[in-house]
Amino acid sequence: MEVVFDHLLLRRGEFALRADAVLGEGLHLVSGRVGSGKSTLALAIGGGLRPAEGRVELVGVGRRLLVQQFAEFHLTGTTVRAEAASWGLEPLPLLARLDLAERAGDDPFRLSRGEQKRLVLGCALEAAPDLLVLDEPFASCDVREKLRLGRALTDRPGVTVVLTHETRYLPAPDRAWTIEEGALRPCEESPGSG
Amino acid sequence: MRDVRLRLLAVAALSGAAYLSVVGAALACAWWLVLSRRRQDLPAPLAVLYLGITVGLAGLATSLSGGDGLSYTIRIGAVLLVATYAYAHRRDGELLDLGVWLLGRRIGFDLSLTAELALQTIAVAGEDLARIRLAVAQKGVRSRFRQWLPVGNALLFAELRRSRELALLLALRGYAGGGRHCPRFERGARDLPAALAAICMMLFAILQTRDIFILLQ
Repeated sequence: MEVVFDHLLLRRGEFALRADAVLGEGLHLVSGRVGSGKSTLALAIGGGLRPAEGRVELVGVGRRLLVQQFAEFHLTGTTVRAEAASWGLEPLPLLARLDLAERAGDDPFRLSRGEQKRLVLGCALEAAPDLLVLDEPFASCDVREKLRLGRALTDRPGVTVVLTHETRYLPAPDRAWTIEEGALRPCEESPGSG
Repeated sequence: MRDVRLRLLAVAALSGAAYLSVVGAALACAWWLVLSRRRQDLPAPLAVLYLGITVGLAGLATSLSGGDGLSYTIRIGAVLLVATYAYAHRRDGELLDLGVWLLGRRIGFDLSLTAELALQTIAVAGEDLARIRLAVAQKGVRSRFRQWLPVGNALLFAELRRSRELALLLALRGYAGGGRHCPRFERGARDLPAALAAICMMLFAILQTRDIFILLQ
């Protein structure tokens, strides 16, 4: 499985981002300062942004999932249970593992932002897509959830791309990238901490 | 046009001209062709298509009920064209300049702040909509028809949450109505001629409209 950025050029208004790289199986960390274009790249990998030039090619990838920074964009169920089911999952065991079993009958929009993020991240990881793209996954999460997410990403099969500037709870990535001056570049040294 | 006062005056005049008569609509379209950035000012092709279908259907209904559907379609189409110009050329903060200049720091500030926030919401909601539709499609709901309910629900909640947070932020900063703002305006070389042309077009449309002409007699 591979994600190939083939002479990719992304444009959003005046902003432009270039990428020419191959992301193989394993955990990839993409870092960069706020506003550098991480979310733009995440959106393009997830299929939500059409390249101005070049293409994003998915080789051998079946299902792909993009978890966006704001979890509320993902919520479509009328209850927490229905929300988990909408991802094609068995809700109750999953909600028990996520400590959300008691909220199963609640409207997901009544959950706190942290709980919404926990629910969406939990569903995405449980769905086990071939390609998982996480845009600022640690935002809105408490330390417990950050540790849980870090553990879940360790040895996850397929391609996992984490776009974040918060690397403290992330396992050591197989490959690290940075976005500088409008271009995706490989990092010489891995910033992963484990 | 850089001066928001002249631009909105021109837009109001052209909208009036276009609504009054087919000749006024043609003049408004000619003005748009000269002063707009053409395709750059138009919304996405799909939005243009939806607007066209809506206006066309309304025109058809007007025809079927005994009215002049073709005239209606042309006139409303021209009004929408002028509206795309007004939206495409807006700049953040300029309505605040206009409101305070026109109505002062109390009611002018409040009304224009509301208008600024509403315009920002339209822009942000467009981006939110694309993100929500992507998230829904990832769950296997790809039909636009079936997406309508979950997407609408998520968009409504996203906008309500944003509004609540914005209201809280304004309250925390001490906003209780009215505010200090020093309006500033820039004027381009073509602003005044363009606004005068728009006013002339509206006056011509008024004089050319037979009913009003009869009333004047």
